[in-house]
Amino acid sequence: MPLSFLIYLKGDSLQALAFHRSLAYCVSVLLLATLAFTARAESRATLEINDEIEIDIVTFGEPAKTGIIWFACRQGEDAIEFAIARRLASKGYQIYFPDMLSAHFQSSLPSNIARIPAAEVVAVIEHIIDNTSAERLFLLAGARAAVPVIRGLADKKLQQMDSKLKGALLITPRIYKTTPDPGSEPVYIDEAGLSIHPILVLEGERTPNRWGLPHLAATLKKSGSRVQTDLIDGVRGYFYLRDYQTPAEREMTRQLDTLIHDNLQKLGAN
Amino acid sequence: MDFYRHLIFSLSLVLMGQQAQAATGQLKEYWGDLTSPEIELPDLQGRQHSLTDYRGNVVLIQFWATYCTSCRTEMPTMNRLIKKMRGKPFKIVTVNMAESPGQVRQFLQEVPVDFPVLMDSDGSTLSRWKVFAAPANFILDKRGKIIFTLYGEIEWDSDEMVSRLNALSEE
Repeated sequence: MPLSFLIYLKGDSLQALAFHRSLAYCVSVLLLATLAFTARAESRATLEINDEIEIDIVTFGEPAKTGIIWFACRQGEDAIEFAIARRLASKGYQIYFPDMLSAHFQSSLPSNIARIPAAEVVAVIEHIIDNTSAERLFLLAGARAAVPVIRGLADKKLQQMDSKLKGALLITPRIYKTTPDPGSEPVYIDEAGLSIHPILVLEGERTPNRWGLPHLAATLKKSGSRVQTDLIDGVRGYFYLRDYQTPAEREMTRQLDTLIHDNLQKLGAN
Repeated sequence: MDFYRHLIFSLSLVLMGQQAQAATGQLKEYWGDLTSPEIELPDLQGRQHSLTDYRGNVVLIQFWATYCTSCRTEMPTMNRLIKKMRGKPFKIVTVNMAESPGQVRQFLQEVPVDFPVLMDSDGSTLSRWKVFAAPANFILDKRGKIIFTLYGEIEWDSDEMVSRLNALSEE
């Protein structure tokens, strides 16, 4: 027991003791509540795809009506995606982060992200669909991480399920086979245009890729997806992943949870 | 562990950005379906420019933007190229990718240029020219036909480039 507390007890009454007991009680309750919330707000599970591939899935937020499966370029405590996920959780979403790269002992290079096998993406989505209490699920990805999402959406099994999967939000997606040559139409990965789910594409206003939006939308619509596109003012491509951001990009990154929330509404999140 | 993953990711983004904006430029013969697209645009001072005015010259057309770091780097080399090609039928025309006059003026104060900067304020010209990356370059022969394209950063005043442009201007 702290010395000051003993001295205080010695010299005073039961009232003081009651006060300190109450204080200790309140602090304990607060601490326990925080710990309980944190534990519920973030959990980890492992999905065994086969004997060799196990995919960790980190989940943020309480069970909710709307779930987000975020195929993120980065994972971990200092990833902006995790910070945004916590804010989305406070807005009433449950967010799932499958760590697709660690399963293959690969670093988060864009080229590695683009090589994630579609079968594993589909297995993760199916697993979450089967185990979530959410009524609807949306896929979320940015930059090259949009490649595995587009590959997953092209999967016939996912398309035939009476699924909770309601669409995908792609933020400054890069699904080119190679950077388009001047004077030539962009060429996308083969699976672009094989999806049927609604897709919303957000592109930076300050990137030449914005001029490819009509072409991208036309491609993604080919098998029946309803495709919407929109520009994000004042930012370049994959703005929230950049080390050197302009003030406008920093501000938009701060508001990324709101941006995601608002655009999921457009996809029918609520 | 997280630190190293992020370091690798950041480096890869830098590389991806450089690849996207500054893939080492190589002239590519153009086999696309743009035959002789027109450009009718005003410059920053409001003077109208037409590509047909440049017929009889080899023309380097560059689509660029102030946010494109490669554009900033290579514009001085384009200034030097003009000097090296002086007296030859060779012109440079650049088209800004739908930015505001204020943004372009501020950029040009930092990077002064010796060639026309045309303003494609609604992006319709660059859409017609199928430009989806910056800088996007086209080299037209004296008849206005696209013969080469080049995407990415390059030193325009290199001996090799000057020699190729010289050869084209003498055809």
